Amino acid sequence: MDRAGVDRAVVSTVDEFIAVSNREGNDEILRAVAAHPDRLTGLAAVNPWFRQKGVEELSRCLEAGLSGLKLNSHLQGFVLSDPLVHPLVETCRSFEVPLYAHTGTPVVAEPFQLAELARTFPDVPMVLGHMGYTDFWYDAVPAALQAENIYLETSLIDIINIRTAIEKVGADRILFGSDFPESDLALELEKMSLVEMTGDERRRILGENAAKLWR
Amino acid sequence: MSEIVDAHAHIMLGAYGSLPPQPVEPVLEGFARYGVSRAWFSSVDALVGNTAEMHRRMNDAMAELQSRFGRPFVALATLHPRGGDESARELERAISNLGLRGLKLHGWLQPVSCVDPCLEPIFDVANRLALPVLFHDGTPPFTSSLQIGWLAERYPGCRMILGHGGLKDLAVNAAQCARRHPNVYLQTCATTLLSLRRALEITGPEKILYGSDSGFADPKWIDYNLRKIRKWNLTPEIESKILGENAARLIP
Repeated sequence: MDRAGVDRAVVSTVDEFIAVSNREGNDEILRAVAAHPDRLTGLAAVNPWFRQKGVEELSRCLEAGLSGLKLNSHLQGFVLSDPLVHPLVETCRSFEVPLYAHTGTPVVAEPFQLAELARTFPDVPMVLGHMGYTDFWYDAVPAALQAENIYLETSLIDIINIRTAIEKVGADRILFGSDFPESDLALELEKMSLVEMTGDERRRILGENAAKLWR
Repeated sequence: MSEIVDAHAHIMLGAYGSLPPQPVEPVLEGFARYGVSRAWFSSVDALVGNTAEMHRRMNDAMAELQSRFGRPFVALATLHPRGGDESARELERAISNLGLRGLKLHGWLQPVSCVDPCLEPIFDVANRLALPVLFHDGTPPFTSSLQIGWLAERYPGCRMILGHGGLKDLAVNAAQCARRHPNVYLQTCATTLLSLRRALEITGPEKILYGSDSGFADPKWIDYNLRKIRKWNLTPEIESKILGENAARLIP
């Protein structure tokens, strides 16, 4: 982050810690956030198949200092809009925190599935991860237009689609993201420098929007 | 540093969706600006229009462009996938008469499953002519990396090139496919850096070709894709293979 010039990052765990070993992964994120509270904001990864235990794990993490929910329905094995996930989203609503969802993987992590969830919970901000990258780039902007509580996150997606999102959805609902370590933090930041936008739009996308979402 | 070859580029003479037409000269200038001395082009117009007449017309146009611009411009043929013997004859004409250098198949845009028997007459010709065939890959259900592996087994004379290295979700399949089949290669565009690092371990450096998927819009995408390769921190020898030498071996 220092090398790339990034002041603050929203982080969550990876792989098996998203799928099955939620508690171990979340504890690691809690430790990282506690060690660097001025640099890191943490999300709790909870698999909705843990049902009530999952709700308890999310509540534990949010009470202990994490700031939202991370879903990866591809790794966790559920259709993103399935009511199975509703108790976790209701928990987000109670704590007034956003959720971040990986999108782009058929048939379980599609942008319109997140839009369906977002329309069911219009008061919960939802981040549409990677803007549907790869083949659901067609869907990301239309999905965001269906639900005003959707924010588009830029990691991996190409510069044309980021430009389209600015024009059609507006810079206020776009968040810079890197998906590190899947991609490279500096590379993703350099990509943003290749996208034509006003200085004001750039400021909002690179930081101000996220700062409002995770106060 | 040997020459940089972009093995995945496009020509788009008409509009596509919200994207305006891209005149050829500025596209080539865009590649040159970023140090790319040669690129493999296929026609977006033909893949989207996708009629036998359109493919024939664009194969003629691509041959004319290849002739006009010389070495920097490598032209790939496109075909109507359900044209049977007529498409097979068009492939023969495009390669043997017009001098195009390979075939591009986009199972998602065209659309056709890579395992549809309608492709057999086309691949019989491609196999006999030992063609490089560039695929859009990584998109189920029509063009997943392992479906192309099935074609590679049936047509060992062809060099099958996975144009997106499995995209994001099927990157592991693309690498497995390139390792299993001596005639399968993968490209770098739209695959994540982490997946490329893993693919290099699985396939070795001879099976990976640089590509940007550029040519139909903002030329800065060429810049981004080259930056991605440089962020990989490869040895100069491996970087040279991926950026150009491997492609030059397939299409000298």
